[in-house]
Amino acid sequence: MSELSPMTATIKHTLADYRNSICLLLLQLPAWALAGADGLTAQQLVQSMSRAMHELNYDGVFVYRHGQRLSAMRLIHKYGDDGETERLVSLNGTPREIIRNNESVTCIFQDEKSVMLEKSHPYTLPLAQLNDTLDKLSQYYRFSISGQDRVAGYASAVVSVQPRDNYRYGYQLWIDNENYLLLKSELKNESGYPVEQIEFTRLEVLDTIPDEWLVPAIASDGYARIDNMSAPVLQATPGGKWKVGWLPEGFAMGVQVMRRPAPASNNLDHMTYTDGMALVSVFIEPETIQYRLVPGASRVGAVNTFVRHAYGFQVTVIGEVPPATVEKMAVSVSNDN
Amino acid sequence: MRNMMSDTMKQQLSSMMDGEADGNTDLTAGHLMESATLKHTWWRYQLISDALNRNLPGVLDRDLSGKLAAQIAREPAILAARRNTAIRLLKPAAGLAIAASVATIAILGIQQDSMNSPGLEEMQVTATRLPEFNTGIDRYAVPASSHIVTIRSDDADSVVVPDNAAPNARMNSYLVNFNEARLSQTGVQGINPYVRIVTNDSDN
Repeated sequence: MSELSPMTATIKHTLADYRNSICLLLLQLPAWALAGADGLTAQQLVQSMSRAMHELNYDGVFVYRHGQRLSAMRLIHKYGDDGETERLVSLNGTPREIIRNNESVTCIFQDEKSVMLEKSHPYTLPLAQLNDTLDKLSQYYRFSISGQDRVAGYASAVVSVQPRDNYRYGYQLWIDNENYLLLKSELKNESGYPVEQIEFTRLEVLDTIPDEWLVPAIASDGYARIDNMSAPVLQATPGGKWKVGWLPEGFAMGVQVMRRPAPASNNLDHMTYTDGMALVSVFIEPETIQYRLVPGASRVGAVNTFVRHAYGFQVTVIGEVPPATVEKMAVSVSNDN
Repeated sequence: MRNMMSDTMKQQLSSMMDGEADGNTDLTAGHLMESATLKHTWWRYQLISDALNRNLPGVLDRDLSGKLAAQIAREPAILAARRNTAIRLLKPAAGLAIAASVATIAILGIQQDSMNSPGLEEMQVTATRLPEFNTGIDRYAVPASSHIVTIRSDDADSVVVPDNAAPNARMNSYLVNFNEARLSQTGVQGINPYVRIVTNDSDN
């Protein structure tokens, strides 16, 4: 970016306050060896980035590449008293939008004339827990600063996060030296090749985001609605009857919920497992003809899935991890009954 | 960008597709989005790569392999650059793809427009669109929310795209719930997971 907008120029004091708060928080961290911009280590840069992505207001255009495909999108992110609200819009092809706030995720698809609503889960990880997570992550990933680069007009530190085994992906992160926003990111497979990439071509950090920027441009009146917002959350038995017998080292169960998705159907178990960086979801529901998925391996971008039918149930494992990881986890699922 | 592309540029594109372009090319994703010529070439190479990977969607033209061979022959730069790549691409997939059924379960609107790229008019690759499904409770249409590509089907009868939208809607719901868990439970935020739902592969 060659020039800052007038609005951006008027809010420098706010951003300076934000950076000061980041620096104060970083003083509470363990004394890692210093490197990179502002003398921050790779882990500290990643931590600052994670907070900045949630707590700053920004509006940008980026290119998303997965495999051999390219898409351009606009991301508007607002942080305020009501928490986070963001709007993601496809800029090429048939319009698609996702509006996400503290309560819901609304997906609007003009090509199919449909709207899907799901309940959102706001980010609430406390700073202390984030520190612990980053400490733990160094057992499973190597953090390093590869150098400096320039993306969308901003100077950035290039942080490399390499997995220590083949059951998780690696990350290359271009983190803005000034505001710690993620300017470019690559997800790398077991061979070190990028399988997914985003790169901002324009990004502005703003003091405020007008509410009208977060209103969908697609007029969805008359569209088909798939509303899972009201799906009742049922009591799940902690560690219930289902057991995932194999997990990559460092993965632990996150949450387990049971709900009844729309339209009215059988109960659905959702268990999550994470090492703090990657996350894998395991969905289990009674096998039915109506909702039967094709068994085996599939992918959506860099997200891999594996579907298996066993015990009269459908087990679906989804994760931002290599195909072997979701398959091994799916195959290891057993029922205590 | 001039109309004619150099072989060097083609080779850089080919390398970029293979993820081998780290530091070896001046091309960036931004360049590709800005140049129609580069984009069209990109899409031609992509189709060839998809063919090599067997990731082509839905119903395929029976004579596709011959047309692909002709297309590859018209791309001398990529042929030279990819001779080893083809072997490498197949290797990691060997345990998965060769003995398995390859099917697309929910490629919704995928690649139709990429077929309009110059030089591809004769390739009749048809993406299967899934029908709407009426549950009687609500009009239950499948959102074109994702591009789910089956890498390996363990179900020998599932090669044909199932004429049933509900499972795909269920998978989309799974993906949103996975995204929410990813955003709320992991300390490190990288690529916004919703880009995989918003991405519009069909229009390029």
